[in-house]
Amino acid sequence: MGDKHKRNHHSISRRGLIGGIGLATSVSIAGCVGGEDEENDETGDLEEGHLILTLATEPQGLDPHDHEHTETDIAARHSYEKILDRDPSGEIIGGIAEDWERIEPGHVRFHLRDETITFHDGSELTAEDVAFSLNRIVDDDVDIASPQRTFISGVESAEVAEDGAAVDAFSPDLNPAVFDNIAAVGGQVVQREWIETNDREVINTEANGTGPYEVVEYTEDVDIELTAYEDYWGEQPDAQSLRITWTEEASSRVSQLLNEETDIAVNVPPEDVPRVEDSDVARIETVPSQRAIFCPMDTTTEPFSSTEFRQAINYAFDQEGMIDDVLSGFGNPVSQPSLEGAVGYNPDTDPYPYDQDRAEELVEESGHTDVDITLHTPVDRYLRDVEIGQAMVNDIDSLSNVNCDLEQRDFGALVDEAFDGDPETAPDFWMIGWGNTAFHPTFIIEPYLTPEGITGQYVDDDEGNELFQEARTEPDDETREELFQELNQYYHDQAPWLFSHQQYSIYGMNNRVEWEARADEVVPAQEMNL
Amino acid sequence: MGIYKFLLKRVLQGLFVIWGIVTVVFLLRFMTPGDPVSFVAPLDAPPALRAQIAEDLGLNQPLHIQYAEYLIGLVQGDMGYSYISNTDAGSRIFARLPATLELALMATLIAIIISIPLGIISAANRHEPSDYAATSFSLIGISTPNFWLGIMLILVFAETLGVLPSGQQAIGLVGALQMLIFEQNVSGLRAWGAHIILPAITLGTYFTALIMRLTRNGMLEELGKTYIRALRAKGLPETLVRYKHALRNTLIPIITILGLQLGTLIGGAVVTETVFAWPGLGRLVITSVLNRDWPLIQGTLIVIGVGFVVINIVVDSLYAYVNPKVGYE
Repeated sequence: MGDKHKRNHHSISRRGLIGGIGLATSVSIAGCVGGEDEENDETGDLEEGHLILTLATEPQGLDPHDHEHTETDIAARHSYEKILDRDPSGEIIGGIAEDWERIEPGHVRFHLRDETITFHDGSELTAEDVAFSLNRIVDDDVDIASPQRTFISGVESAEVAEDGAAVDAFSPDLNPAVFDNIAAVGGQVVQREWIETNDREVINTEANGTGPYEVVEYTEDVDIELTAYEDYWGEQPDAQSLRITWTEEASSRVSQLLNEETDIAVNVPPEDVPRVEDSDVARIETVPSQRAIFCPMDTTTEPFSSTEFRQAINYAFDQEGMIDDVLSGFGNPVSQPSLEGAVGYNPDTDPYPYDQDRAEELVEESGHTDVDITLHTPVDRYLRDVEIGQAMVNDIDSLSNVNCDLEQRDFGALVDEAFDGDPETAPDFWMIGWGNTAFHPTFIIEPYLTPEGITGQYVDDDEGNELFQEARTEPDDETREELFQELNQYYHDQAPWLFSHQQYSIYGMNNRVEWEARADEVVPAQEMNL
Repeated sequence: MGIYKFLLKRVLQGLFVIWGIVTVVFLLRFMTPGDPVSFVAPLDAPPALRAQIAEDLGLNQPLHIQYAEYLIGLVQGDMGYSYISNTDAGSRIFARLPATLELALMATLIAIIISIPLGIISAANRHEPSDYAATSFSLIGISTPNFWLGIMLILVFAETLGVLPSGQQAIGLVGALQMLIFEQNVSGLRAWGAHIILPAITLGTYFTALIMRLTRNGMLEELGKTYIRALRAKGLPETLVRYKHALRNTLIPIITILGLQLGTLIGGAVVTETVFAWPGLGRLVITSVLNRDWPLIQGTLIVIGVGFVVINIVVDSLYAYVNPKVGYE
């Protein structure tokens, strides 16, 4: 009796199980199979007046000051505004401030716009908010220790001036790059009260800026939905709503573009450019960015303490060959710390020619023949960094008197070793990319080539440091430009880095979008026309 | 042994395994290079500021104190806060869990729908063209890396034919069903199906091939047994012999594999989710690893591990339930 009951019970349950699977199957099939029209609706998400921007990585949150991340800055610039900004060519233009001036060597003033500027919660922007925003970045004791402090190098404090019509910023010395730095990455204006009354979780998942778009919803790991801010003081953007999303896999990003699921796909790999160019729906827009790829060498230890040896490494590397073969031409050879378009760029300084014979001679002169060196490169941090590292090492190792190995590293671990100031663990020869969004030599020379910089342990160069201090404190603009040009020639000759290339920003754009790509890697939807 | 005693034993064993998972996952942070403080602090942060940040993140405590605090937090449902975005790690992980579960279940469903009929056809037509075709499909399915398959499916169905989206999740299954039930609107379900089909095929292909081979081999074994000859001698129609008797016995080991593989699918969705920009746990863990966001890494791995343990308990119970010869022992 008991067994019979058990068998019946089992039989019914198994049928139930099969029935459940059948129901689930039906639901799934209903979900997958639709009419032809409905299916086509799913393949093209582009709607009139609605722009979709696909980034390569997820923004790290919505707090405009709590990051040093390009994608986070791109997202933040839609809902927050900067004190000073840049036009697509890189020229400084007004942001929240309409005008700016130097009052005295370490004292600058930003005159705020006369228009009524409101935050997305409806409250009016005040000079107090602007001063608080600067202090939140430069003063570790104001709310957070902002990673952007490095970017506004030199500024120590800010305060309200002219009865609330302006904001003053103070530096201990001339700080000639102050306007360039304030117009660089990050540094948007926040509302003091909103920041002080909300915790960091809210500040990172909601936004209350003055920008042309207000955040409707931020779904972490999925997307940010924005809509045009009706009371925006400036011109209304053409796209009335915006979706910012991200797809890490580059080929998938390109497929989304070609399937009309997105308007803009950033960082299109060079090998996928023909796919986009051959399509009827999208095109490629490229611009040389202000991001330089280079390989610092530890000039305090052998063999890199020898100028001849460092020059030899530069002669050994075929920059143009690598750019043609690895980057399909999407790069420019680099000869100096500043890139074309930046302050202090020296047009007379040419890149090192590819000359292996000269490289071998210089190695002999340095006295470091048959030395073993290792290049540490990050993996998937920069455009084709793995292949670029392989090309560099292949060229250097082909010298008859140098053995060069490649070590491909996790980016986080690599920069951790390079930036922690410990010369024992720091790699002697490693690759980094640096986006000079300030378009100013101090933005790259100060962190990498001065003893006070983030890689100060690599630097033993009193002459270079004196030249840099002379240039950065020179009050006359023309003389300063000349001094920085001389400094760029000096660093070319000293070769503290293996100079590689200027990275291009490569965007895939739907044909309905009109936009001029910018050199500072910023992708503002408010500049786009549909 | 009764079902309750069986379940209690399995749950206790599961808790022990979960404790092991939590411990290993916690220790991972100390065994991998890269200081989380470096990802949060300004590039030029002086030692005092780095120490302050370490204190704020709770990283300055001795290992055993950090471990104890982490365990206590977990028991209270607190997985900590993301180092990067300062948001609650647990909320973020559980918000992503449904997308991964939907993908894994859909991949399993596709595998069942395709593999079992193929396995039966293959076994019933041994050494015939249909058998060769099915076994070739199985070999290709097992050998194909899913990142390559995913990209190929996108190229063909999204980019070239333009009949399906290239991934991403338009709507969750719950939302789609709510639209269907409360609004009598089927468009949500269609959007859900259209977006999940390619990632599910990609994730489920290996699984399909595996189950197909198991079904074929199981059917061949069963069809060669004496009770099958007896059934045929009785004059039972061949359809009944195959589907009612041989298939039922073949399905028992397949249930075990189905359950275990479902756990593997949840953990192994990393590549598929990345290729299709699918907002699930796999993609979250990749992003977190790149950012050294340890609360998210640890939380995600623990949720996946716990999922595996729970599925194993369910499978063990189900196996004993459907196979009276095994019982709860």
